[in-house]
Amino acid sequence: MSILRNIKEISGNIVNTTWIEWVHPLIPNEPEILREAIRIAMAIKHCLICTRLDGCYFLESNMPELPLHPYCDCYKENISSDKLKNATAYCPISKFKDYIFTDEIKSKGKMYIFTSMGFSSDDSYTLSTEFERQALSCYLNGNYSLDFLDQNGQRIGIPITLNNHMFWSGWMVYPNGKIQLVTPFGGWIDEF
Amino acid sequence: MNFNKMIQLKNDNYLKSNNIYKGAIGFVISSSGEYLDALFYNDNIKGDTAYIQVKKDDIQPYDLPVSKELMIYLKTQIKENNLDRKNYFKTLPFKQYDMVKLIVEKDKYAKLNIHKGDTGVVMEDYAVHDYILVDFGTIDGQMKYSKGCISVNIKDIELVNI
Ligand SMILES: [Zn+2]
Repeated sequence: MSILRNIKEISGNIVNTTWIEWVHPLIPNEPEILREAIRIAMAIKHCLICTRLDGCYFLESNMPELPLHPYCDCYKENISSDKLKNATAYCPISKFKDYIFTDEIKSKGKMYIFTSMGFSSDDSYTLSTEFERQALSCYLNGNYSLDFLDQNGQRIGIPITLNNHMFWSGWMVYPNGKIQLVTPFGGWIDEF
Repeated sequence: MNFNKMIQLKNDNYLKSNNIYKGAIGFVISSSGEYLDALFYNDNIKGDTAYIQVKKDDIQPYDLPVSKELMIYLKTQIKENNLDRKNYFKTLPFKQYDMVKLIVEKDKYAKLNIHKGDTGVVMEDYAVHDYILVDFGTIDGQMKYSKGCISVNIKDIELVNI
């Protein structure tokens, strides 16, 4: 029973739904300034990528490779479903207001995509809350794809559906189950 | 002054001379008379620090729950690493949503189809160890998407005025 407890079927595939927290010794999940101080103190002897992954939550079946490199100090800790309830998705309104809906040159064609789906700058708040709602739901269901991982952190792609169009949005994973939008549009789903 | 607490700059007295802004947070390394040697952390470029002498009157305690064990580790590492003895913060030359241009051709960008001359938009208000996220994602006339959002060294891009 306990072995099967965290196994469920998603889209016809049996997947492991255990959630884990990536742990690098000594680094607290918060506050950011203390994390930063410790990361800098460790920077000479420790991997910059691992120290940034510390505290981030992933589905065990969809996480960065562990160990990430030879002599990696990191390990994973299972997360209770109670802890996972604290997960949040944050989409700054400025990603639409000050980026997507500025002009075609700056948005490099992304403004056209959103206007042709029926949205304008006035919908920035609506879009940001809708992105947060869909992203959190997808993240918690393990419906995300691991994207770039470097000193800036782990980015993940999350599918968004608006007016029958499906596309990728790009998010950064932060400690304690927080994800934050990096870019609203990262390509059509069917192009991948 | 409690040596085992974090500190915060109270004013802009070190802005012109050291580019260290009011509110910067750091640690006391040593003390003599009315002066302290302190290490400050740059919030705009994570990983960047400045080591300066400050007047005790210019700082205040910054209260954070830091365990004694962690504080000892931090202080030892700072001393052992002889962290970055420069006495100023680097400047982040870009703001969030600035348009920038890639000014170099490098394999690490080229393999992602991002080349010298490509433009993108800065997506965060901070860099990490000199790398900042730039969205080069482009939609063409056929609505096809290419390139993407990647981390770029701040020395490899320049501001584009539009
Ligand atoms: Zn590691």
